[in-house]
Amino acid sequence: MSKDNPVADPLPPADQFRRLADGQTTPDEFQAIESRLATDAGYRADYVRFMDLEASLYEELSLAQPRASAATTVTPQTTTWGWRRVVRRLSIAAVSLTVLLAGSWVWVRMLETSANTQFVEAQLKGLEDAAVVTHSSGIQQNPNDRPLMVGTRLKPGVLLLRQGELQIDFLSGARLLLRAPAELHVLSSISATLVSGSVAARVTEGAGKFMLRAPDAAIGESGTEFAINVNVRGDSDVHVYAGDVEVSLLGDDGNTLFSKRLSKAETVHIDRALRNVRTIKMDLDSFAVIRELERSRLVVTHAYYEAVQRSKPMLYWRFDSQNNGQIRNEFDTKYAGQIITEPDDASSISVSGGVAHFTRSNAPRYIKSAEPLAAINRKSFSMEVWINPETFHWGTVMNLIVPGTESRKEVLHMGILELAMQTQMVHKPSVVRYLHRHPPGAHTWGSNLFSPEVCTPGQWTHVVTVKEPNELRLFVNGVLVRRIQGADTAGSDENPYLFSVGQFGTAKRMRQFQGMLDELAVYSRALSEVEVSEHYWTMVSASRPIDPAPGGARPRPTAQRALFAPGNTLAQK
Amino acid sequence: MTSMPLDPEKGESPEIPVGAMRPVAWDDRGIAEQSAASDQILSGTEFAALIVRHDRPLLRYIMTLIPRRDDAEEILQRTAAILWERSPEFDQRRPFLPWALRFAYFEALNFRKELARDRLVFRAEVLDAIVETRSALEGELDQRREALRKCLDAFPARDRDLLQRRYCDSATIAEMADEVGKTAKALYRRLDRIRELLADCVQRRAAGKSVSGSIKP
Repeated sequence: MSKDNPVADPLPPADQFRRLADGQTTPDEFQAIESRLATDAGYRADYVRFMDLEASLYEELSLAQPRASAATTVTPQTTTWGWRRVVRRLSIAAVSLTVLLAGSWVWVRMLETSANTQFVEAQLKGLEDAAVVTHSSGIQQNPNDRPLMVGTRLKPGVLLLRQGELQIDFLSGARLLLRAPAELHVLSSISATLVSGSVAARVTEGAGKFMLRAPDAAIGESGTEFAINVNVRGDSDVHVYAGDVEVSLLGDDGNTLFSKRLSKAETVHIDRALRNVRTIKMDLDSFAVIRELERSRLVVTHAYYEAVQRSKPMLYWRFDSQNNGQIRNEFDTKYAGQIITEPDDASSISVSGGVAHFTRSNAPRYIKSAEPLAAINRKSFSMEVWINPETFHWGTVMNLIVPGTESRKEVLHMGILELAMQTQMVHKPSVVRYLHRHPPGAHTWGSNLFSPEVCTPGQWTHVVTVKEPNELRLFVNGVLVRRIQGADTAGSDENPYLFSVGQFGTAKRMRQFQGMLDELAVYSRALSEVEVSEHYWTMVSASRPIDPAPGGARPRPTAQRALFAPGNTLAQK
Repeated sequence: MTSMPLDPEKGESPEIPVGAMRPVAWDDRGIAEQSAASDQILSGTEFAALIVRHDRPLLRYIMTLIPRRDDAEEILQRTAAILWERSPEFDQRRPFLPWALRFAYFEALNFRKELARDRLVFRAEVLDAIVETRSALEGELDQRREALRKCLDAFPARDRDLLQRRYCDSATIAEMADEVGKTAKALYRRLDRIRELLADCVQRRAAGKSVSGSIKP
């Protein structure tokens, strides 16, 4: 039986339901299923049984099932691909995806009857999220379209921006700002094609590889910021704001014909017909510029403070203020925080407005506890923090390190909480990772918990890790998202551990976290699921935007999506 | 039945499909078993405990209406936020889950309105019919879940691992095929076969028929 012709030769109900659950149904198949569900009680009962079994499988397999052995980590290695090889590889992927997106594209053209902004996802199985909206203004959409608001996740698809501007952060770490009118094809987390319009792009140091293609050109390199305008003929103007950018003029086969390296402040015109790249001078106002994310703060009520106090933390940094580089521990005279920065780069860690803010530095910078945490790993412990990253990046939030090894070439870690990217393990980019390694060591083993969802730039995310002698748990936004069980999972000992925050270890500038942290707590026991949920909801229920949403509608009380979005100014604690 | 979207601004009690109102076989053990006075408001801890205890039945219910897991989890998150906001209205003498399901149902409807043009989501009257059917089958679904646990225990470890990679780690078939050195097509066939056997095992166990001690696909 052919799965490509379901109307002529319908699949058995179980196969229809399977395709529906896996997001593989065509519109025709979906309509057939819907019609039968409306009229056939037996078919409907089979559907309910099938979907309940599917949901139960997720439930049984995602959390309850112990794993026989801990996952193994692989030593992270720097990618050594040459730039041209990357261009070629990404070009092939981009061409393939462009072909696959063609179906959606035709559909867009057929549907496009209004002048409103639209995003149409590619209808392909297995596509992962590629980007997240981090700024949106002046956009008009059709009433039934999914709102392109801060926090909206985008899979590969076609974006037709008719008004205003939209900023999207790719999971690889690149940030694009589109200015209307523009048409962008989102191909994956590492590539996009600007068909027409104006785009500014920032690919920060520490971000993954990213390529922005214009009709006949490809640009992308970490540590750069640039803008492209593509006119209706497909000609491109490129201006470099920061870093050195390599522009590749592409041939008909998608491979590089000619490349040119551009420096900061240089502007070039890429002529599609003549196939040449020439330096020009033009008005910079015609180029788009990246928007910095607003730094919204958490609303921390006394009820939240009391809830944390009831859980009896051994260390509780609220970042209300600093005194000569010292952060007060709210619960004890021990374990105050010490801010460590280079004298000429002291602003790389600042404590103000009730949060700790970290920016990239050329030198190691971190906050560490004044004393190592005594016997933290005797049996159980928990770590809790609110994270608001500046970008998608690989950044270590917290470390537990064997004292005396922090300055060695190979730091001996017992625990790491970080935003993970390019770790060479299997996981989505920019997810939360908790690594427990016992006995403490370097890069060769460990039990890993990766969150299923990303930690979105500009939004506050609540993260809790719990270590028990035979179990590790990871909670994100009040929900248990990962658990590893087993006798070999999490060893215990009576030793003290150095606690540091803001980058990987303390000796070198490595995996520097960029963004804000708040309400950081460490407990010498396991927080229960109920305590974690209560902490999260106590914070969320107190958070309300000051300004009502457009049209007077009640703002959605979803922490990930709206409450802590940059557009919502929140009261200071 | 006409379904009106929830309007929390007006503090309205939502109009609920008949099926969703039936408290029959829902697992409401954690509710108001203490039968506290209705005018007492639950503490944050008590209410958090209720949400934690019932989030999985809520997710199962939502996935029947909106099958895509990512979408269902988004609706669950929205539902939990609404429940937290409306917690002072919860009558502790009544079961928690049916009360919570009302909000889940309306969040699914709201979500449907948002995504109707982007994704394939059922019409409201079809969702109502599914809710009714689900309610009528709840006792059987409980038995099937119990049967599923037993069937999974009896499955060979390598098949369970494959299922776990697919369901727990959300790995794509292509990624998994890369790792085990098989084609994606072969892995699809394998996974389909395992799920077929699993469904058969669940069906037989739930119906009280004998199933051999271990299952060998």
